Amino acid sequence: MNFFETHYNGKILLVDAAGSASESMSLESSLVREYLGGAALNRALYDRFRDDDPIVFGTGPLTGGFAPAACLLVATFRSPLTGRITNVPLTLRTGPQVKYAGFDFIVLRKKSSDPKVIVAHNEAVTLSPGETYNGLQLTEMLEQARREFGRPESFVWPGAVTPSLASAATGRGGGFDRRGLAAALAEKNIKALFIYGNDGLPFGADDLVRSDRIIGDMKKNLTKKEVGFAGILDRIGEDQAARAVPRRKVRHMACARCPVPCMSHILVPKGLSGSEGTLLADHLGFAALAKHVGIGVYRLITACNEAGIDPIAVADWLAAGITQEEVLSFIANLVQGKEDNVPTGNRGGDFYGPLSEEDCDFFGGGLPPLYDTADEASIEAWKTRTARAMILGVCPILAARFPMLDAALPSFLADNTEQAKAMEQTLGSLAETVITGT
Amino acid sequence: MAEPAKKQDNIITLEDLRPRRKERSYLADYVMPARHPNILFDPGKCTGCGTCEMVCSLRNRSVIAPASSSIKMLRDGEKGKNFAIYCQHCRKPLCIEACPTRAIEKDENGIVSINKLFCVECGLCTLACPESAPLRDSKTGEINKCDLCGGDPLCVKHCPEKALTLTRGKFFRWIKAARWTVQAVSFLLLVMIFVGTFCFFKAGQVSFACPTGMLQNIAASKTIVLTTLSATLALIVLTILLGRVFCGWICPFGFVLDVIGTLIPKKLGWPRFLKSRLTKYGILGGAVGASAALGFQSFCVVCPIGTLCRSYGAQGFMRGAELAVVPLLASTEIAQRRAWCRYFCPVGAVLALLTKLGLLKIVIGATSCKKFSCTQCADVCPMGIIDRDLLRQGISPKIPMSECIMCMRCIDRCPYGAAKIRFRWQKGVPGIPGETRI
Repeated sequence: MNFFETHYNGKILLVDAAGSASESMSLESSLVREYLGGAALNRALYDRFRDDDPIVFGTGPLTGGFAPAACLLVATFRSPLTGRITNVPLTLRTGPQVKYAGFDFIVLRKKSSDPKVIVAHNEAVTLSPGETYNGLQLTEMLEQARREFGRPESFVWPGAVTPSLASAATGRGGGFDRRGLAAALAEKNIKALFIYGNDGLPFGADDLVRSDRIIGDMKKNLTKKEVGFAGILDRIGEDQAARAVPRRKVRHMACARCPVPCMSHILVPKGLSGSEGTLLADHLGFAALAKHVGIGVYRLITACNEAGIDPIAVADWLAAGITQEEVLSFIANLVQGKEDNVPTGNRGGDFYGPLSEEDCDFFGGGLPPLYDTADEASIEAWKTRTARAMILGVCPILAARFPMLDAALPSFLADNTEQAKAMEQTLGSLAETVITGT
Repeated sequence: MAEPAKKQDNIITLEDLRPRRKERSYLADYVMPARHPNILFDPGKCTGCGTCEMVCSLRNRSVIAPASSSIKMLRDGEKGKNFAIYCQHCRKPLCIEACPTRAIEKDENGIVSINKLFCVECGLCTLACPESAPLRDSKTGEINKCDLCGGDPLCVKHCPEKALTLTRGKFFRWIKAARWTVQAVSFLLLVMIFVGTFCFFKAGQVSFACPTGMLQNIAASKTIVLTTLSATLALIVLTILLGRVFCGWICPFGFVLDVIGTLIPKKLGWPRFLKSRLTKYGILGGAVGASAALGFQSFCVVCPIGTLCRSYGAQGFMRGAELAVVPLLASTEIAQRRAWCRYFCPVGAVLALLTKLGLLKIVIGATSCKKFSCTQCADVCPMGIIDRDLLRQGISPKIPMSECIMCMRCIDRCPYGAAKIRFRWQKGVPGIPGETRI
């Protein structure tokens, strides 16, 4: 297998949050052969630096390349909320940007005594003072970053509220963190992580042609209704939430190289959302809020995204009888650091059917459950697909929606059928270890 | 004293690098190919996946490096708008003017490209370009600019949403063909078959009259006859429904002017002091006033439309002096296109007043319009009412319908489908195909 040369930069960035130093180490090809990448290799790196309580951000071999939706960055860490090792998928352009910045993995070690902002850019990293980011909401934070660093292409932001309620965001639509990535970053006193680069990434000779063929097949029987945010809500049976999303008046947004977008930008009247529009990316958060407030969801989801608070926790407040206005004032208080009288929110939700909280640790508890809750085989298949996608570095939502990707994705890493078989075996066993967390 | 060294043919000297006047005249004389290739971007379809940047960078650096691409995707997460910056291959590119080393060339197909051999990466082309389309590679410092991949752009080929399309304009301009046919048939009917009927025609209870002649008639006779008023209804209704379509499609004198304009495309220029479009209203008022004073329709004696309509056959030739007015006024076409219609025609003045009640308007679209890079609509408009300066500034010009003769040359010529007919009450900018919004 020669994918190590064509799909990785061969570099791991080690950031010492306690100091201002950082170093890079080479990514051993033996490590890649054994663990491939993504969540599996993250875990290996986590174990290696376990004493420093690291957060490992890792790409997969396909990340940044031409494979469909090769956008994924996976964060692996010990969750301060549960105490268990957890993976959180980070989408949009975070994964490719790590590779364009010249790295494959970023290991964030130790704790900083004062607030810091990390900027990984072109094979270098800087740790800047992060006091100015205290109490900033998402738009303000991005404006501050624009002033300081230009226009960073991607970011991971732990939110502006108390870590127990925060959800790490990678874009204006929030993220899929329900297991404490925000809290882990807050524990290390990291206010934001910006990643962008202009390096080049090599690719396989046939990757583009193969990818176009796969994308063509994927889109062949796809209807308009299945595309976008509402398409996912339909698939997971959240009819009430799906009805709150207009089928017209939307613009679908995609992560890097994704042919079937699952995010939508809704141009709702300003009175409903409090802004010019809302980017919807967190399916479960939206569904949880829509259950309680219907069309009023836009105002709340916008406020949640801006503050970096988990919408499911907010939905729990609504379920307890707290009014929308009170919720908004709670969020405003939390951003200002006033936590008095703010209730704690249950962030579990009941979306995953028979899966326990521990079962959800391997994917961060935020991905839409694209399976039949009554069908054990369907759940197992979904878990395997999600884990494989998180190893390969492609979007787990797309991988779960299109079973044809099971065979198509490994083909990017294999030159012949023998290699493909071996890859299939490796992937299968690695997916198992990712799911069980061993 | 030593003799100055002779210039060797294979050495580029400073003299060679200076822009010369000849180069500028080259642009002025440059004849665009009939079907100029260009890329169309549909923001309504774009999901911001960045595939265009990825594949474009392959051509510049042979690796996946969006920072090195010649197309730049701007994503506005707040407003949900994506916008692509790429070279529009302007008809008169400012980058060519600005390049001190003459590294930018425009080939016979209309494709503007940078000759990397001569480029010194000064970036003046980026500053000169209204869209900053020549992009500096932040890694290598090189200036990259779209060259349409030699005519088969990779970004268009691989865009999963088909948001980018390559156009070469229209193969057949059917409006032009239809207009010339209608004009020729109208000329035949009004001048050679129904001689003199444009001015006044009566068959039983049905009568037709020229509206300007009718106004003069009322002034001369100082009586308002209801049948005379109703005789002008046909033209009044036509103008309210379709604008000054009479001027663009039916008027026999307009046909003569268009024929002359086609035969003599180069214009001498019209004196500035005569460039007032209000003059025609003055002439209309004068004609009505003179008719009242003299007791007959005074302007009709010299009206080029009426004279032409009465000229065919022995009757017409007997009025030699009257007929002399036609070539005299038609000669204005040598100075400026439709100069008579723009500044003097009182018939046009009456119709222009009626268009205030008109139902239609022509709009030049905001997003699909290429504005500064194209301005073909402004070039072909015979009435000179499309503001080229606004287009150069990237603003959609408003078309004054009272001056528009509805010839539809702008609609016919626009290769991007940006010029459209709309109802007066519709929004100014035509909708983008595929985009749905509040």
